[in-house]
Amino acid sequence: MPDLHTSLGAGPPAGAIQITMFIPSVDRHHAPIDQLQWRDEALKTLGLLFRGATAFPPGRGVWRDDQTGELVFDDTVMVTTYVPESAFAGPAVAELRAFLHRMGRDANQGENGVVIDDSYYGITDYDPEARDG
Amino acid sequence: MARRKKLDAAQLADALGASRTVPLSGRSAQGPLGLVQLHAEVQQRLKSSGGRPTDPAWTLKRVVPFRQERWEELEAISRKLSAGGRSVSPAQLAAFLVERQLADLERELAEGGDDALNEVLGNTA
Repeated sequence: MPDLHTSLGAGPPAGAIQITMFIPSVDRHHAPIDQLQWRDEALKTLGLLFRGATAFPPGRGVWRDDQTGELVFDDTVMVTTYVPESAFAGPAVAELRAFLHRMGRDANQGENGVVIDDSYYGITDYDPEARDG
Repeated sequence: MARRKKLDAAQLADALGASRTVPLSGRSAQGPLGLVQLHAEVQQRLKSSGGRPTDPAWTLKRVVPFRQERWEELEAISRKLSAGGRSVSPAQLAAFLVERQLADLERELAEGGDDALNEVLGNTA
């Protein structure tokens, strides 16, 4: 198979791993949150760490709060990017963690999830403020 | 082209402080993104030459059996994929999906999946 990266004249990075974040429109108690602010912060985080990202228009979503059994409906924005494997060797994961925990905690989310490659990672216990800065 | 190793999900979960990890069966674009990608692929590959748009590379026709409910799913999804562009039939959608699944299997083979299969089957060749 030809080296597509070279054939396309593509510049760095040659990303093949997909990262997708989910930006909700409400908190775990159905109260609206500043979705545009969090969407832009997600874009900024992924842009700084991985050189680019795309936010898709909202899609209707639902999440079940296992503490109450209640369903929380919202209009979720997906923010996605493609990154090279080498991106996981440096401090990027720690900075990604800092953003995900800050959003989960400050936007009062029952769970903040991210899809990386072929797995979903659900975060429910957020780092205290001092850790994620 | 070099094949990359899979990320260590347990290590990544620990680094992210994740409470749970759900494997997504090796598919990186699911849900809305997967459908958007499939729509783009279908619309790009189907060419019109007078009759129903088709992929010029499809030169073979074979009779393939389906369950009734699977065919109905193909009909429903092909209607969605036909929106705003070329019309795709349920059989054409099935051909696209077979090609995608084969590509996934080829990738798994290239990443050593045949070694694992041989191990399970007790083959040494």
